[in-house]
Amino acid sequence: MTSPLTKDQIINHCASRSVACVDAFLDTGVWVLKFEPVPPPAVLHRIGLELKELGARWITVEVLS
Amino acid sequence: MNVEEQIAAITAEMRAHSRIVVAFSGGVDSAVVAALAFRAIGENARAVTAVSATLAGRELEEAVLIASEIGIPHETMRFSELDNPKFTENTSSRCFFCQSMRFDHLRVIADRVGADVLASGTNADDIGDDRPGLAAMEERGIYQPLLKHNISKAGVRDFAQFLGLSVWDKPAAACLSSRIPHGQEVTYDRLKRIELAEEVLHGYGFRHYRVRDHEGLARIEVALEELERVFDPAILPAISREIKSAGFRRVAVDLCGYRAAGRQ
Repeated sequence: MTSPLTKDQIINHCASRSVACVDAFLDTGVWVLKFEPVPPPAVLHRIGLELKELGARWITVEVLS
Repeated sequence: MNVEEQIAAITAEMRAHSRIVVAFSGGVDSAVVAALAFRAIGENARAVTAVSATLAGRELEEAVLIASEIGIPHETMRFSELDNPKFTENTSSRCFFCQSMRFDHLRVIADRVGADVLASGTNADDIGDDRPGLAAMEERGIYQPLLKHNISKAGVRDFAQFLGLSVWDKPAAACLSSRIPHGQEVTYDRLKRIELAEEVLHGYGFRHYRVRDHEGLARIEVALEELERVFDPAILPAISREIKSAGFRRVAVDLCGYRAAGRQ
């Protein structure tokens, strides 16, 4: 599934908010992001809304067990 | 009109019917319709819960309890949407096929008990969404008193409080198939793992949540007020482990939070 956004755009957008996104990939239409360190939930939410505005339909952070 | 007057108007209308069967999920909308019907015509009103793979077991248990709380005669009816390939292929018309089957089965019960009316809990707020299921109800002449009297979801909750129903603030549940994006097949295994995964979140005390199934990727949505807690490192890895045990290959939390299906 394609997305109007690219991995580099997502990482750069996060960097512009002083958030370190170390990886981003598409999995069945869902953008899965990895952060190092993980920012506070309010920051994640804001970034999620901004990336949605930029064209990401579903934007998530992966949860490791 | 205030709540009492609106309730009086609807129950007066219901008294024109000798018997009413209410499609009863146990959610606040159908609970209010069932309570109004019982208030209007007593035991000539009957609540019927359609049981299928798209109904979470917890919802059925709660439906039994709320019917008992209302006092209305209650029965269950089993059917399987999964028998209909038009449903399982999961197009944007999925709800039309589901509701068509559901109400055709309910009609059989209505006929058996001599009910001239089959009622649903559709409310005025349902109209704004893309809900092909409503078209199936309209085709079948389903009585929708809350919609007819322009009662919004907030109004339904006011009714429920006025009527003393414990479900007045119950979060909307919706059919489990709504967790599967259109175009991805609805299967029994997918519905089961969604149900199990949502039970995990329920077990951790979340109130407003969905687990969306993207071919084995569990996309967790929780309400904004619960977003802080879902990221709590003391519980999130355990949630992930338990959801993977339910059959998902990857677990991810949606950064935008919970959105009702159709508003994605």
